[in-house]
Amino acid sequence: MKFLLKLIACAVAAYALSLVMTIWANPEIRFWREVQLRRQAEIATARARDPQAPVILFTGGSSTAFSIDPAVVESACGIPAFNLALPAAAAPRYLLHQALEQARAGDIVVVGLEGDFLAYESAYPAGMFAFGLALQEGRPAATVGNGTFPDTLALRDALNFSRPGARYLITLAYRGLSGKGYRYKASDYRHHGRIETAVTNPAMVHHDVLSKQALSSTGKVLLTQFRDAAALKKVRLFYAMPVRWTSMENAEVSRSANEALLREIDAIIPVIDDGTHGVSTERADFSDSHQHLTAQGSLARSRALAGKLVELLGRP
Amino acid sequence: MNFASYDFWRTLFFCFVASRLVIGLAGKCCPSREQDVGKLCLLATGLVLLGVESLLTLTVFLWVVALSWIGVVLAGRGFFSKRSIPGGAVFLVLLLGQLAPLFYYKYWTFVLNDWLGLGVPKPSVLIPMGLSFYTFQKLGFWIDTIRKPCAPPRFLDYLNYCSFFPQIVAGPIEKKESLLPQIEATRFKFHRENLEAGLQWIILGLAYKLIVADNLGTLSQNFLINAGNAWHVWFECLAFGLRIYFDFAGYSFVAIGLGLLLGVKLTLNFRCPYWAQDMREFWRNWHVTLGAWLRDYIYIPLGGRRVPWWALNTIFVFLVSGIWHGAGWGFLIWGLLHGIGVAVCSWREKWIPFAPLRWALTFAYTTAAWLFFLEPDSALLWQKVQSLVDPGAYSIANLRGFQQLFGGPSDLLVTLLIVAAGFVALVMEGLGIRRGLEPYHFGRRPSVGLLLVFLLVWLAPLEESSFIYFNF
Repeated sequence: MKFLLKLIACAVAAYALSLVMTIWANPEIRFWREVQLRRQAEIATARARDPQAPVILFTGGSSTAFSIDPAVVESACGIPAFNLALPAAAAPRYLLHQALEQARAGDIVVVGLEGDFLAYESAYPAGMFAFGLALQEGRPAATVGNGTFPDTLALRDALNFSRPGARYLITLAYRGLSGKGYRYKASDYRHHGRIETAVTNPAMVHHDVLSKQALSSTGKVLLTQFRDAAALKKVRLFYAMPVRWTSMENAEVSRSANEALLREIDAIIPVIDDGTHGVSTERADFSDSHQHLTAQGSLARSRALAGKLVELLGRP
Repeated sequence: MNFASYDFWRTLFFCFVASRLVIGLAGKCCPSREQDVGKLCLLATGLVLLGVESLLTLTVFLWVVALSWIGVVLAGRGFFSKRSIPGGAVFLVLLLGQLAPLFYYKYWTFVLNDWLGLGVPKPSVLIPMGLSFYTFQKLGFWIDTIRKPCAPPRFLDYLNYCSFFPQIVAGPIEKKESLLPQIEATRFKFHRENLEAGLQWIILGLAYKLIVADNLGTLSQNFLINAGNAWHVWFECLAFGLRIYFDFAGYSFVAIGLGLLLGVKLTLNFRCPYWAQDMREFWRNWHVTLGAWLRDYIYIPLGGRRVPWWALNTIFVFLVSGIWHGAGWGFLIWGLLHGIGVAVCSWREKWIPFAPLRWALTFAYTTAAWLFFLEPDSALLWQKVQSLVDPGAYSIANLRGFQQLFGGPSDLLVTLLIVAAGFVALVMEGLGIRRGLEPYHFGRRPSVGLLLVFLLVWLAPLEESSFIYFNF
């Protein structure tokens, strides 16, 4: 029995150390947690300034974090806007939930989830990243969007998300020893939560969508559940598809492939149709990935989107 | 019944707790029936664990058990000993009935379509878990009873012999005389005296499976293999050889540990096989119970070593072993290679006087043979085989291109770390052998167990995967 107790003690100690390694010593989680806290503080300041005014909140994966400039949206719409997007590793339920958590009745939430999340069947498994952020918020169940979605965080998942795994351990050791740290820095934070990086990727490859995209059944459930949760909070929803760098020759094909998906999304959440349909052929507008826009790209994209958003907000 | 899954342990925990409550109640109400109630609970646990895998698994299992029980009862009465026509006919019907699920789920496509070219579609592609293992175990029991007719065991004991959950889906394939007496005496209780030994086996098994085998499985899915580069092909074979060993041995260790906790001693299915110095030694230490089954029920009845064509017998047995592992030409060739290897080593012992060289050749031969086991695409398999035998495929340029096997530096580093962990485990096995200790002596030391718990928490992959041998 002594041996069993020792094994249990070892397992507890290993988990405790794992938690430190995967959550508090994780440079990616540390960066995005700081970003999250800054965004929340800025929202609080804006609300304190004018408690009755609504705000516009953007959420989605990193393509939204890099592409939507709240300053442009604010000047077009006349109300404060915030970019709450996080890396796609946070998984859709957490991405949507954390934005709705910040919203109040009368606010507007613009969903900028990548098309792939909605076009392919998925159980949307959560991971270490969302768990780390949710745990630091003091609400581990938020990992799976609990509160907005009916999902609950199982003990086995919580234990699993607290473990590093061989790949993460090696990456952490490699980045720590080489002094590389995380790719993005606090100085990459821009007005009301947009992220901008000076890192470029010369080997970037364009991403073309060649076959017609359709809303998956899991995507439909996800959007419907989110729409219902937003309706309960009296929050208005829109969807804006993030743009990807697409080759010139396949731009039209990609646009029409995405169009079908957008039509199906529009039946659940109104789509902001800024004409891009998730496609951009401007290589110079992208920074370190085919989904991350530069400052210039973000400006152009935000202007197009804000113009259409103003029109939509004017409608009842 | 995946020992590396959370669901297995949770189901087992609830079954065990419920069983102990029922047994405790029975002990109070009717002490004379306590042991039988314990056996019923053990049976229920085995069936529940099979049933939660799939209803098909449970149904097929019960079908094979029912037929084998009829066979055992008839054999106990000497029905098959008289060599009569009805006896032969019933024997054939029962044999075919027991083998039918195995044929249907495992060999249908290979025999009817790939081999005979009949193009008969099969509606289901899923192989019920552990089918090959329990079919062989029950056949062995039946054949033993035919050879030595005796009163059949109690039906409840036979059911427990067939469904003993630690070994039902991936062995060890236990013989009647080693498992049945233990099952007859079992009380389905927790044996505290075996706690430390049982836990040591379980921890070692989970570490073999989760740290080495599963990580290698995930990493090897991303290998960017250039079939024309012999270094790539060798590394792929090495990774698979490590993976399959750590996977299956890991499973067997957990089975032994669970058995010990329940007071049942199962056969050690692996005995550090990668330290073998010839192919005969390899097969004495690799999947020991399958080797014993093939020896007792095929090799010896064919005449064994006593007949002039013993080498053909050996090769035939290994062809059966190959096809037992999987339905495909690759498995047959793998069996043939092993059969030839064993026959050559049996013909003359110690062809090479220098032991390390003998070991290196054996290791290289078994590693290269895995290629036929792992590669299902025949065109690609042929290209890879050509690479292994073409000196040009070992060029310096190809060696320099070795790192292209990996998607990036992080993949390379993680793979090397896991392969290194595998080799550390093998070295520990080797140290034990050199000192004449019991297999896996060092891996089962309490201090190593504590270290392994740390490593399990840190290094086990975040996704669950099943055991390779569940496919067989």
